[in-house]
Amino acid sequence: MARYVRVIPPGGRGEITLTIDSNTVRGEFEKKAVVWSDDRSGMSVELHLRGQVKPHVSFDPGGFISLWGAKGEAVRGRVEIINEHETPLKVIGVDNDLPDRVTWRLEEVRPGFVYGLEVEDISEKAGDYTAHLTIRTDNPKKPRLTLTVRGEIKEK
Amino acid sequence: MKRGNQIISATITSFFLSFLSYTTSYSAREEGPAIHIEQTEHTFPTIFEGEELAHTFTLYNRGTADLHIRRVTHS
Repeated sequence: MARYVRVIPPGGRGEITLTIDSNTVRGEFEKKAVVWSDDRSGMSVELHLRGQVKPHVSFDPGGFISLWGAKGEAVRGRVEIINEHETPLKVIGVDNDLPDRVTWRLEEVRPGFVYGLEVEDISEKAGDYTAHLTIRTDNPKKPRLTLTVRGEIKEK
Repeated sequence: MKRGNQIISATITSFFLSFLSYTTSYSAREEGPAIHIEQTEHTFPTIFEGEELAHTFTLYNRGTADLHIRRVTHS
């Protein structure tokens, strides 16, 4: 978003304020804005903004687990929950919207900073499903994270 | 008589050069607005998601008429 003065008198000065919603960018970013005016040379002017946005809490390798296998086999997946802050994070709980298909186990890898979340298929029948595990934390800026679990379970 | 001609010639040459200089400087002085932005790049410090990312650029009009900012596009 850009806010700017519309008219600048000869010898005068004005401002252009550029705002970026940090909820829409992750990692390193570069944004460009172009100022169009009635400058006598007819030239536009480019403005560049660079930076890095870190998540409060992240999943490693990502917020998705695929469970693929046959019914009755031990089909498991694992992610780590990484606290990107310097102050400890507490996982308050995990909500499972498909408890007849998956179960989970949480362990502290580095207390307050890294948690391991193991997810296992417990399906009693073959079929595909999508489950969601909602991790609740004590970080008021990131009280919830959602891990998506995609299951493809075949007959043995 | 010869010295008189030299003086007249020098005067004409001087006048011609002055006139040439004036017309040249006049035509070089362009009219209209002229945008100038000293700093066109900015790097933010690393932040966490949800925190504000805003920066203000200062621009100047170094021309002879009002500068109108038509629009600012971004990508």
